[in-house]
Amino acid sequence: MLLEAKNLDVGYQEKQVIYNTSVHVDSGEFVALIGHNGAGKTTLLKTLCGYLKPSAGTVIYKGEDITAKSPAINVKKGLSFVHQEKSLFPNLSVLENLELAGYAIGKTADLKERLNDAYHLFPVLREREKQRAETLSGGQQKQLAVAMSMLVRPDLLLLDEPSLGLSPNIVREMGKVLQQIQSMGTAILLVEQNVKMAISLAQRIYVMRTGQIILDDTRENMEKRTSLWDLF
Amino acid sequence: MGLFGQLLIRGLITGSLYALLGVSWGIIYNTTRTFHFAHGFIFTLASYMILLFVDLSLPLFPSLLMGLIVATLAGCAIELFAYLPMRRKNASQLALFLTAMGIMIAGQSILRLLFGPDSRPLTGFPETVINVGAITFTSVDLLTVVTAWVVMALLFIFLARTKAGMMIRAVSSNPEKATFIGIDSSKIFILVFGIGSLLAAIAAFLATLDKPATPNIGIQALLTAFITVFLGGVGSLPGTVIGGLVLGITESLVIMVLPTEYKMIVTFLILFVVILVKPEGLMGKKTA
Amino acid sequence: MEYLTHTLNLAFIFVILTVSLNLILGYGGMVSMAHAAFFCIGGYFSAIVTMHFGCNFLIGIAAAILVTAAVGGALAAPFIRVQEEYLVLFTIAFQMLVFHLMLSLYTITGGDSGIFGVPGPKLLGLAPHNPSQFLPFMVVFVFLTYYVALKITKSPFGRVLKGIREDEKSVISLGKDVKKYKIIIFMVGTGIAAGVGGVFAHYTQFISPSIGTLDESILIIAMVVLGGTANLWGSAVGAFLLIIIPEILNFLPGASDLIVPLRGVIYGVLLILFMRFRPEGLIPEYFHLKKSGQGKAAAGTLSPSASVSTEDRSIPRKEPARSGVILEVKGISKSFGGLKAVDDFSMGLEKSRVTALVGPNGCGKTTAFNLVTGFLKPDQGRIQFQGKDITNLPPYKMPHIGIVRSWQDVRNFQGMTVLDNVLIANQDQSGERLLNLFFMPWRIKKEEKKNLDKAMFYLKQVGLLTKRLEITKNLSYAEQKLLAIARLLTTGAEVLLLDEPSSGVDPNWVERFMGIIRKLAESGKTICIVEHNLEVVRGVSDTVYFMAEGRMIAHGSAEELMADPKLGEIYFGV
Repeated sequence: MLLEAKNLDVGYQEKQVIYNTSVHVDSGEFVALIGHNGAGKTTLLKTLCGYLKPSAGTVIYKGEDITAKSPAINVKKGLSFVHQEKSLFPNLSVLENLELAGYAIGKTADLKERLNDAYHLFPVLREREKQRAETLSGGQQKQLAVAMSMLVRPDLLLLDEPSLGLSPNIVREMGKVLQQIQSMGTAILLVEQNVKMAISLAQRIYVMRTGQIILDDTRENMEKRTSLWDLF
Repeated sequence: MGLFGQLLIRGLITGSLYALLGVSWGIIYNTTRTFHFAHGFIFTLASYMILLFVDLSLPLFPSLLMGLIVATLAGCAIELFAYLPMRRKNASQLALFLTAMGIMIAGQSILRLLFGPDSRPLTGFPETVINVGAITFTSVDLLTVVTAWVVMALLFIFLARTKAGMMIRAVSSNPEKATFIGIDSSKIFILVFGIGSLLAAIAAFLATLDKPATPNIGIQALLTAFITVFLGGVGSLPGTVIGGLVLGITESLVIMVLPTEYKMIVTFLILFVVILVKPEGLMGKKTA
Repeated sequence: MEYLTHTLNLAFIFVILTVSLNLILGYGGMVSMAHAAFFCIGGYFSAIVTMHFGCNFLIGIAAAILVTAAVGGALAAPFIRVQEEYLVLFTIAFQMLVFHLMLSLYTITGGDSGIFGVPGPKLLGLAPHNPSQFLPFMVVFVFLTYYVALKITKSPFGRVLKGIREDEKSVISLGKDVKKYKIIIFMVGTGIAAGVGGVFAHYTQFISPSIGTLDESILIIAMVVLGGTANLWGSAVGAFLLIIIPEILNFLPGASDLIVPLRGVIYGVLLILFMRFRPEGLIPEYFHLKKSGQGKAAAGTLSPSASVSTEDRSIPRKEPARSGVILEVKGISKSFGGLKAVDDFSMGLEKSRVTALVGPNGCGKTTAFNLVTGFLKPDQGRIQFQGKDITNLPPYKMPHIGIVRSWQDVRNFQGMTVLDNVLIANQDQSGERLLNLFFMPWRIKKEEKKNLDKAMFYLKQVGLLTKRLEITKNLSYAEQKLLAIARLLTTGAEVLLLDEPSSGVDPNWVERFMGIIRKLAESGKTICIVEHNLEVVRGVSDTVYFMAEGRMIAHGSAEELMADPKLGEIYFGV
């Protein structure tokens, strides 16, 4: 197992959001996490990457306990996270955003190569290299956010609703890129509100409701379901 | 045209100084969101330090350098020893503000105790009067304009072209994400306080060449800086520069209509109107 | 001896100044850097009026109070609605403006030298000539100030102020016009400052701009902060300390010209130290309330009686299905910039029914919710409640007509007791009007008793009666949600608009909360919920409205909607 989280309890001050939740991701696996808004999906991702400290439970990555270690440290170990919102530096240019994304791993000789890899995934970013990030369209901004997270060549990518606010075409494009990323060897844990797309991309799906995992099933079984409504 | 032209030029001169002052405070506020009231003390401190070294028979330029160094270090020290520990303890904005105010009054009072309440002129810079057509200004005015714009240009280049500058812009732009990718915002904060204090010290030097220093110059400078930043738009340094120019020119042209004592009223009214009509400032963005 | 008494009188003057600023800063939450300016204006005004008209000093003072309060109100009104920083900036500018005006309006104010020969105090044949003779007057003024301040702060009006300090939006949603409260308390504070300015002028028989500087304003702030914001007795302590300590310095040889800057150093250092190590001041606000022994209770520890019982006579039993739409939303639209967040949205809420508003992320339901609750104004369309048009009704008027909303993040006032949180929810309290406070105290007392009974009743309903004196921040999250319900019920509103009511609820208690919502509907309340948790929607709603891209796509029962494959596509993607 690449990532294993056991018995997590997470909350904000008095309000508990995640109750005794366990999840895992294997190397190279594509796992989706679906569920209603407010079920705790974003909170779970934030806990896995180290941004939030659970009041109980552990997060183990590559055999090491990384519970509540800072996200920047985890990035160095190959665990990358893409926020749902505010995942960019809006006033800075596309190129600067990408350069900053590599900050955690320090000076690398192959920065140019990594940038090229990023542009390969998302060609439109190369065209708009010098533009300020906030002038990009919504879809392009999401692409930039994902490109930034890929700059560190992660082994595990945590994505929080990359399709939010995007048109169906762009969502499909994003899906193709994610498959590409998986084929490069990166495991993916995808939180997605576009449930159908998530199911079509993932090998395994978690369903979360009111702070708990209520289902852990394969894509085949999910596709056979007659109704998704009772999962939400 | 003669009077108008003269006043316009005068407005541009004072406006340039205001722009520098505004930027010196604005860069701190934009990046750290701290209402750094003690900035006025840094201004006064710089002025008095330069005067001190001149009194100790140091030539003007080295005195200036010493003043800049002391002021910059003082600004960093305030952040490191006063604000940072409080932010770590999750102090409220009000508490930070009152701390800043405390530093301001205590600092200003100490300067007054040490140097007395009388005004002290700064000499040592050749003062000549220059005439260009119908417009008259002094060498000090020329120095002020040139220095202010060169310094501001250097600042913008620093922010745009250096790694440190990029990190400062990153922290201003999205502080949460900056921490996420590993930028140590406490180091950036200290850097920004240093830069802001340095700029304020330069502005203090220019201001003191023009008018003698008193222990109270800080508060006036501070108020000007605030107004310039809020007028031009919080979060936008170019906006602050424009704000400074607008303030300077308006104040100057008003003299055509009102006697000079009413300068403050004009400043006040400008502030009033801007806040009522466009609270986010001339170039600011509306936050939903 | 006279010198000491004079110092005492001065200290009392600053006590009054500090209390008056504490009302603005500590209770109203507004940072005013111009308090010395109002003090100064009052002094000048009273001096000029008495010298010009030859009237008694009390009339001069009264005139000063009224005029300055009016000026204060006029100044505060435009700035109430912008961010705090602007008020600070504005008051600094105003302070310096007043100072400059006093200096420049030479002919009226005597400029730098001020006005000499201000008539001394005279009352009923008494004309004090020295500090000792003036002392009793001073004591009376201090007493009056405390009477007014305590009356205000310990009243329902004061309770609303406490709420405003913590969470303005929450106060608005409970039916109070926050702007009005802030302006009023600002006027009271500046009025008192002006009044004592007049007292000062007549006492010293002299007034000059030196008392109206920014430094003096900062000094008064320091006194408030030292003594403890929102603690009126602390203000006396703060004022005394900051007046007495520098006066002691006077006894040091050669210290007299250094007094002003030395004071500045002392004030500044004290401010820094206190903010760092003891921000609540010398005497914190709740020091007399014992902290309850219980710490943070774990989530899910609801008391067994936590449910809304319909047994009590005050809530009517379920009436025969008297349905009918009482709140109608007709074709509302709202755009932000170029984006149409809500597009021609219509909805009807039926009495005694639970209506749910659902849709995928970004469908506009939160915007629609804010439009209906009055926190946003629609660009087009109408909203009608029981036939009356309420489209542009400001949100603070909603509870008054019978519509109240809850918040996803609860928004109880954490620093107040549970009981106070509920008491504040009562509508139309006469104790919230200042004039009533002073001229009809008996009416308020009677009403408070009634309000108390009502509050206790609803607290009992939700099972929080035993915790009524607990400070709210010690409650568990589930208890906070129950408190929020008690507050809503106390407003007496018949329409409850609930924003994600199941958010943050322990999975074990979801059923309980669903039961509470149903019981509320059965007791006659009309309920609308915005929900993401479809289990809750299935369990409580009678009608569901499905939104996508700002428009209402379908409405019907939950079963009907969830059987529709097209809606499935929209919700889950293709």
